[in-house]
Amino acid sequence: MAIALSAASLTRPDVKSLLHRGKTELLAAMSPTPEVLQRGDILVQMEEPHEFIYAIESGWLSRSRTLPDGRRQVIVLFLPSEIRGIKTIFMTHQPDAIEALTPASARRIHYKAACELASRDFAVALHLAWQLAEDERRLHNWNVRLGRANGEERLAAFLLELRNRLTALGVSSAGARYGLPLTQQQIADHIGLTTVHVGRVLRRFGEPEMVDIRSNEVVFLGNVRLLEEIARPVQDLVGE
Amino acid sequence: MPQRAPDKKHKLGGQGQAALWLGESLILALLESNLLEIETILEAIDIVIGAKKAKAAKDNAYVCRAALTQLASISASIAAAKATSNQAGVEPRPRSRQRRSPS
Repeated sequence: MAIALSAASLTRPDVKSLLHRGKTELLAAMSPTPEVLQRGDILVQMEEPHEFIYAIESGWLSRSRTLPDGRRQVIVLFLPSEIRGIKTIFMTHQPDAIEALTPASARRIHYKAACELASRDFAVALHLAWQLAEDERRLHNWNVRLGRANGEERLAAFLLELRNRLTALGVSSAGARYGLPLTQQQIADHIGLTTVHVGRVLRRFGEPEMVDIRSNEVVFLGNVRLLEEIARPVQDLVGE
Repeated sequence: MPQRAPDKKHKLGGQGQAALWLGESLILALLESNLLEIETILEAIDIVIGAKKAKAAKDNAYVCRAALTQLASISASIAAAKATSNQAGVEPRPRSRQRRSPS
């Protein structure tokens, strides 16, 4: 029988309190006034130098890369409370763009200040490393899906991953419905399909009443269990 | 306020997009109905990509490159079209719609 796990339960118990303290210390050292972004604003420009690490306070953001011929891959979605841009500690330029998908706000810290803090406080260093590990876990999931999953599995896993991430963030209603501030094109760019294909798969999901997307809202219907069955082979231990 | 009539460029773009979306939707419908094999379609798209590449080297390079981008995206998307419907208990769509009887 499958064991229900969560990201929190996978984290080693002996580091949990250290991780919590590290995040608290890092947030305390960040700029007190958040940077406010409107939908479509670019927080980090693709291939340009960047020197800040961010804590997302509100809103959704995405990391994406646009190819020279115009094709675009939305690599990952960022939700509130996550620490972003940690790679600026190691890299002068960011290979991808970070864009606000909704009105958003984020506080920031210069990478040198973060490094200095981490060198003094192991908990901060550990939290930065943990966030990178979390990001890597999600990227591994999408590596598997984009390499091996079909369109239905990708879309089902995408909708359920967001449900589970939002629930973990404390959005209790996400189990039944949640706002999805992505266009069909952005969904397609994230899961490696075309908009036509996304539209057809969504219609297939709607007919047996698994899930519906209406006016930027994902609504799970009576047969959501079927959607979970479709996604299961390409979900990880955490259910993402 | 009435919308301005589309200029020639937008009209052509609209026609191209409509044709492409219709074509892709039909391909997906045929795949879902098991009337086509994915490999057959991917091979057909590869042939078109080859032809477009050859044409891009001669003339109309900008349009050909834009077409190649679209074809590459469609090819990648169709490659992921294998349905999981039977695993999840979702019945495939009917192969054809009931025709209306002539009145």
